Amino acid sequence: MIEIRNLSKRYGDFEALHHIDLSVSKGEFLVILGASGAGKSTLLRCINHLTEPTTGEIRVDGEVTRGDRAGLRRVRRSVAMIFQHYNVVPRLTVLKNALTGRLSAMPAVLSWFQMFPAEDVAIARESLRRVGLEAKADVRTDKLSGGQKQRVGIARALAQRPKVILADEPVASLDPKTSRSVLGCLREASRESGITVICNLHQVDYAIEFGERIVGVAGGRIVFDGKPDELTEEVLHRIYPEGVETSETDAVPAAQVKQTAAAYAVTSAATSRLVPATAPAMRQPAFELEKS
Amino acid sequence: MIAVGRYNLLVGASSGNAGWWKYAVAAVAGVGVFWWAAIGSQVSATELVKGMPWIADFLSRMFPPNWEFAKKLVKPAIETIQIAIWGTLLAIILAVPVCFLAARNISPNLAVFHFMRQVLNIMRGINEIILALIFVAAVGLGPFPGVLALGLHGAGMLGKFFAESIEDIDQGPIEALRATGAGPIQTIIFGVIPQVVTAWIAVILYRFETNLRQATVLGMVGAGGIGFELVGSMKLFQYQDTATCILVIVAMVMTADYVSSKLRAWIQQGAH
Repeated sequence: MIEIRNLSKRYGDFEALHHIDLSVSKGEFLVILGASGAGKSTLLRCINHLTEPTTGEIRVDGEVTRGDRAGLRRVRRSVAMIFQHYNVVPRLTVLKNALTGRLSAMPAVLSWFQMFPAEDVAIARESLRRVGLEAKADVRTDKLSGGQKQRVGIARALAQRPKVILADEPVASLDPKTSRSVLGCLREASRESGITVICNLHQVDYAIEFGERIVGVAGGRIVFDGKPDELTEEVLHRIYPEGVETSETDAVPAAQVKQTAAAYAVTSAATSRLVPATAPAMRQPAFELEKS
Repeated sequence: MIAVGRYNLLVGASSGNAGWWKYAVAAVAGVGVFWWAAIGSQVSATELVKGMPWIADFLSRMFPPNWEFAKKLVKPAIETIQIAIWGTLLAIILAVPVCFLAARNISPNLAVFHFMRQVLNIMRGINEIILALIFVAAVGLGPFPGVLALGLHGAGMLGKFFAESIEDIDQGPIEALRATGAGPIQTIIFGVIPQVVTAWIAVILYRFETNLRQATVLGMVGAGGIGFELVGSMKLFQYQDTATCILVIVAMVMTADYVSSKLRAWIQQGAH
């Protein structure tokens, strides 16, 4: 579905991405794991050309994007994006926010006057239903909670009927319980419609819980590519060479945290199933990296 | 800190080698500038005192205001409001297309941005009265040149405020809309306008208030409205009529001020 070859991105002297090669197959739920500044975000933004790569080739569904306006609109139609800060329009209703996902597919001039094809409205409503927000369709989006706003963000992405969803730190601003439900929502959508999801995360536990495949990025390079159960201590050290930071203390010796990480890796799947929702404290991630 | 009896004089400590001297030099320079400007503008307390009897004479001639004349002012007063309405509307029509190009974050490129900012600066830089003089010469006496003057100057003002409120918006939704493949005008309508609409309405109301105030004096250069009657009455030495004009103008401006500030407060309250 996505073929990235020799992708590099420089900002002046700083090399954000260094000769990245990556291919993602259809329907895959890929998590890109890494510390902030590792280049995850740049990598994601190169795929839909919000950031223009310095060198390299990106194919989405076999097609190379041309840099002109029509080419950009084409790739962006089939590649939806979800953002850390939701980026929903606060003063529009939930339904209209979802409908903005259809803007590129409808007659532009009619949309300027708020006239939308009935089928597009139906698609937007269906997307809201899938994220559990159909009852909030006529509510102004700034009245919603953070988790609900991110669901609107997901609904907008689904309304695009995309082949790929890029999620850039979608749960970094949310609490653990909401984070799990938002990521779960994204996983459901991916499974139901066979949408390829590339999701940037910095929390190791979520990566293990939700990723079918994990790609570790550090210093603009891919340092790991494998299944969640291959995420060993040694691998975590490669992904987080600076050591792991937690949300509560400033710096914890890397070895200590990595032990926890490895332990969590083994038990996380079981934990999330066994621990009832009534024990939120126990469901807290064992550690959380560089809380933003 | 300097102790003065039971009081302490707290002033910032002098720093650098020059110590207090640099402040002394600055103070002397400041006084020099005021003195120089006073000579040029002939500011003179003695002249003001000498002129007092004349001012008193002028005021006494205005008293009592001629209330009969107020009847003749109804039509010009309404015309003034009409000029202000269309002046504001024209300003909006001119400012809206320009403001997106004059906002750094939406403008297609920096050259267009700087050019449009300069266009707005020029429109704003020319006073309404001067514009009115030009338009009176171009389209003749009457309210229409007043509308054109207010529209052009107001477009410069509104365009700048509109553009600045666009620069203040959250960029996130704009990026998200671009990422869906929405076109530039769709991005503006669904991403920019909802974020700026309340700020714009507040600015427009403020502009209407200012335009009404300006429209009362446009008549002085023959551009219609109540100012025409004001100047006319003075030329005919009917100072009691002049007094009525001034009172009507003050009442109109105060009403507009009150209504617009209430409306703005009401809109901004609903804007959270």
